[in-house]
Amino acid sequence: MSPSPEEKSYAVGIDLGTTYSCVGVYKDGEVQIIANDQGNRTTLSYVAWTEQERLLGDAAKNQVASNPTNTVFDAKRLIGRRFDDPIVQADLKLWPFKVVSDGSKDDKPLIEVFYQGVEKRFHPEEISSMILTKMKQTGEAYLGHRVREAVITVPAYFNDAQRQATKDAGEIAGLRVLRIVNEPTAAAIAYGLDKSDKSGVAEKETHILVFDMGGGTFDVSVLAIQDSVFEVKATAGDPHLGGEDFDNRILSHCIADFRRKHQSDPTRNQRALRRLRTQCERAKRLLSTQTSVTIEVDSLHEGNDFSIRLSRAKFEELCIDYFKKAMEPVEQCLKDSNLPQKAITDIVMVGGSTRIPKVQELIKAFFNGKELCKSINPDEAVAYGAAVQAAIVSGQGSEDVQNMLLLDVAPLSLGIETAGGMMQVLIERNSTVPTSKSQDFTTFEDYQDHVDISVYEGERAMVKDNNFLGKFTLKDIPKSLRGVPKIQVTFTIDTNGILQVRAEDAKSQKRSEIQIANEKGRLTQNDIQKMLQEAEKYKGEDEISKGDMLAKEELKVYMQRFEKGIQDLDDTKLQREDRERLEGKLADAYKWLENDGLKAGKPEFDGKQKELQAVMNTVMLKINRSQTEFWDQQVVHHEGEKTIDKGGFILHCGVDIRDLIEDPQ
Amino acid sequence: RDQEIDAPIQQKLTLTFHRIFDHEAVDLDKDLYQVLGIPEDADEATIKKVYRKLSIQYHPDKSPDEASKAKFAEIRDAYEVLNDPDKKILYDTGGMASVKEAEKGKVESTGDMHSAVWPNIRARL
Repeated sequence: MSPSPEEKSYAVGIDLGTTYSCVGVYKDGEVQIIANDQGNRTTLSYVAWTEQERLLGDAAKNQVASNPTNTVFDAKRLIGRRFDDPIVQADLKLWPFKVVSDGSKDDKPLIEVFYQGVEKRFHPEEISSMILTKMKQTGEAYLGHRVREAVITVPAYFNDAQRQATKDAGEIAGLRVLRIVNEPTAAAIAYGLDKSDKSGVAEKETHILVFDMGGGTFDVSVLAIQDSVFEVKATAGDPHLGGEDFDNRILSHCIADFRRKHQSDPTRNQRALRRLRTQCERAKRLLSTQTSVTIEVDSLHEGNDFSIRLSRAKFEELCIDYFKKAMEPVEQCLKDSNLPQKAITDIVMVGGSTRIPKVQELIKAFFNGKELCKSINPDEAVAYGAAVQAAIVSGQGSEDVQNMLLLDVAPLSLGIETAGGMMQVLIERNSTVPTSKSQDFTTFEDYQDHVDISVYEGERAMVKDNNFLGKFTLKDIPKSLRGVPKIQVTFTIDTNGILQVRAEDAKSQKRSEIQIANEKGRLTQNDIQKMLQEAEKYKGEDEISKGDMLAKEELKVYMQRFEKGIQDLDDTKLQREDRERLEGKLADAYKWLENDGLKAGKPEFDGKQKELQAVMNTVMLKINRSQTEFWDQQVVHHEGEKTIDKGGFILHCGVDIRDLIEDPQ
Repeated sequence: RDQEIDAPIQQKLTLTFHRIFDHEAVDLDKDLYQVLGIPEDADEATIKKVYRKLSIQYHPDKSPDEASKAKFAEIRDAYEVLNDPDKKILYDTGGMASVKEAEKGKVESTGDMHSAVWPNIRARL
């Protein structure tokens, strides 16, 4: 299906969060944050598989307590990581769903669920793509148009592999990913627009610090804003620090308390953990506005109820090391940007966890009591900025937006391994992207005909302390004495912050290059194609299962009317044998629905309905009444009533069941 | 003993430095002030302002063509030197060569750190 040229297509901005996601679009000169089908402006980043269907977003979370092992969340904490990553290993213990290694040399994590009785395994990219699909659909429902392009945000401190994987997730969701944008940078745009609306575009340079602490990640960025140019000066953070860590601390505290009180251990009871965690999260939120809460769960484990009083002070005590740790990137960021504390004109707080009073207090104290900027919505600012960036990049925005420019940076130094396992940096951290840097290298041994080039990211002197990205070989170097060949290695970072490395022998002009993340656990183009097809199939499956359920509901409604029809016909009109025949057919149908109906699809339900209609038709003809009159009578009988639950003919889905019954004429 | 060193050496020491930045020799004469179109006594605020103005014009987000891409790279590289107080002093006094020398110095000092390994290798060769 190719789009007609005049068909409108919008580019949206998506904040793909650890716990919540948010979508926005720039339309008619302003940003709209779009509410999902539940009316919520943020959507839970959850995917669940039940016996019948796949659920996305809020619907998935709603059934988590009854289906914990098949409800997946936190995909962002897995994406672009290896299974043996210590962070993944630590998280594993807290997740109710199962994560396994794919067993390849890349050691990719796979999420295992049961769906329709079959074990299914998904890459984190696929889970993220499902959430992105949900956000895409939310956008489409609001706009009434296809959404084909998107800007997706990632934590500034996401590494190359995590960025690549996020981009892949977008592709699997059928989106052209215009740009991967850093979350604090997107938030800064939201702040900047908000500011310029009020005071006009600043001629003078201002510096802002964005403190972005969400559900799972934490970022700090310092930006300079002048003449609608947003220049990121420095960025720092922790890709694994956020609200969920605080929830876990409260959870551990509660478990310890439960053990003490009841001498039993609920840690293996997934359902109990899930229920308790939900209450812990709720308590954390409440503690931002009140000074103490009660966490209560009835019959938590082995019939024991659980109840504990948690004060804000106790909560702060449980998490204080996290809060203090969060101040380090702030310091680092100021240092990297060469700015004194007092040069910061505004501190912008983004992400749900910045509502925590202690977090606010600590950062305020760090800046000697400076007031924090709270004029932008901490949950929506990132999607807001992403929507603006989508308009900038796709050329859809108004003049104001078209004059804006974002100069972002690479968060980590990038280099190659050289003699002795040392890291030789080619691109220093906080370099403005896009950028390209070259250095010359030579061979170490006489007549050496190839070199291995290992690429790393990180700030340590030895490569073993940094993050390995990939490796490739430049072959067929003309043989000569050591030190003679000249090999130029070029690192190029594109506007998405994604790295490409090229090596070229000056003499032979032999070249070798990699899009770096291909090497490190990244999905191949082939994988992506396969998943794209799988996702399409899923989309089909979702629709099929929707169709199945609709057909089933229609059959049930018809059966109720059938029953009522029999009752309404008195014995003068309906002979006893016919009544028995009809009642027998109906009883059979109910039995069928209870047994075969559980695994039947639309054709079977439709078939069953036709069968009932046929037998009803013959009886009706026999008693010399036309079907039309029969149904007319039914209509009259239920006049004034509309929906089926009130005995009418209109299904909740809006289908008039009379349309489903063949007209005898 | 030699064998002990042998294995890691063959894996790792396939690359080493040699006349880094040589290929950029042509760039050494470039006048960074001219690239940004500003006088040599321009202050920090001016440098920033001009850089941002030129960025709006040439950044790949605004002009995706190849010529603009190259121009943006030139502007950004000039700004990276002139906006860094240390590099700016080097550039003002000794030109691009000094800036490169300083960076090269950094690289060579990295080399010294593993010189302990080197005598062994040299002995072997």
